[in-house]
Amino acid sequence: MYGVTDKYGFVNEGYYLAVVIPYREQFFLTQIRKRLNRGYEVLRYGTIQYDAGAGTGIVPAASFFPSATEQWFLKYDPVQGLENVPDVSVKKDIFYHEEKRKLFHVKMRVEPEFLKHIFFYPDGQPQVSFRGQTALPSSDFGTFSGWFEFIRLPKIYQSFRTFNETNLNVRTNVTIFYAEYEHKPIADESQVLQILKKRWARIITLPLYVRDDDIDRSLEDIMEVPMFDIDLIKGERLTPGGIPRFREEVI
Amino acid sequence: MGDLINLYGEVSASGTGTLSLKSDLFTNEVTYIAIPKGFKCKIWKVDVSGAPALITALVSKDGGSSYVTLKPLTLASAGQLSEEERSRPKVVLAEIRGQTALAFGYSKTTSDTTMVAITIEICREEEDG
Repeated sequence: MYGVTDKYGFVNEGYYLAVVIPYREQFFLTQIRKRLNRGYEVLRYGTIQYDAGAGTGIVPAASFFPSATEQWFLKYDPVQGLENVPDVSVKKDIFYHEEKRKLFHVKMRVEPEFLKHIFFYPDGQPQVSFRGQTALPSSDFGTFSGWFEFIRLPKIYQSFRTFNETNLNVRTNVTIFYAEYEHKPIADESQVLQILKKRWARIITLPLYVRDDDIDRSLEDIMEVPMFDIDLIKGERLTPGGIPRFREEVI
Repeated sequence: MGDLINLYGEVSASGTGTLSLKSDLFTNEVTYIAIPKGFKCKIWKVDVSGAPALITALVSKDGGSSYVTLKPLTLASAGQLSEEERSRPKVVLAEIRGQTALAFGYSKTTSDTTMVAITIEICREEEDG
């Protein structure tokens, strides 16, 4: 059956994606007009491309990775076929882009799953905190393990920091599933309401809790998407427990 | 399903001790596995072959300072002994304080080599099992 999403949870052409930005108490709704490379969603990334002293992609025992102060990016290095990418930005982060009507919907799995990670969005900006304390990858809160899902907005890098609690120098492996959307934002409020009411949209709440100029610029100056008050999304349930990767629901 | 880890250790000397373990998942050789906080460790398979030996699963709840025996497996004579759980693992260690470690001890009387292959799983605390 052809529904809002495919087997990966990516939005099918013609349907809609609602992206909630918590710190703004707003969301934007956009129609997926085209999905590039449909049917080829898997990107076998391989090891994380950093060497913290134990070898490339090996997270040393009982330590931060790459270090307590550095972050790792999804660099292009291990991806066969991207050797000749001329764009330096892409070399730093394979999902970085600057296109107004493009969004990357990325799901990635970092193995082994017992490693703990925090994400930075934009790079350098941690987003998750508890009672004013920003999460570290070694914290008992605010980390994710295994799977991570995100919508990549234009002109923003994303980075990560990892912590290995075990006494093992572990080899890492990253598998990525992604959708490359070309989209058209919806500007009319009554149309937004109708789409939500008809359950034609997948709602994704990005875990962005810290106001950031780069994110605001991406939404306002580059994408120029009309933002709507969160009040328009009614009936969405909070996911109890779990890691605050994002909360989602097809309404 | 969490991370399945294949461990291998062998010992030639007679006497008692703790196995040094290797794996394709990690690059160092270790005498115990520290289980991350919020995760469980399940023992799915223990395979003992070669010279007779008593292999024991050991657990520490104080970060490796002291161990208690959880489960013995005896290879009575030279050969092979395999114990595998296909549906539910017999030993499940839940880690809540960041102090749990799993090790495997041996006791043998000959100097012939005993080889031990173990499959464990480290999965999230909230997963069933």
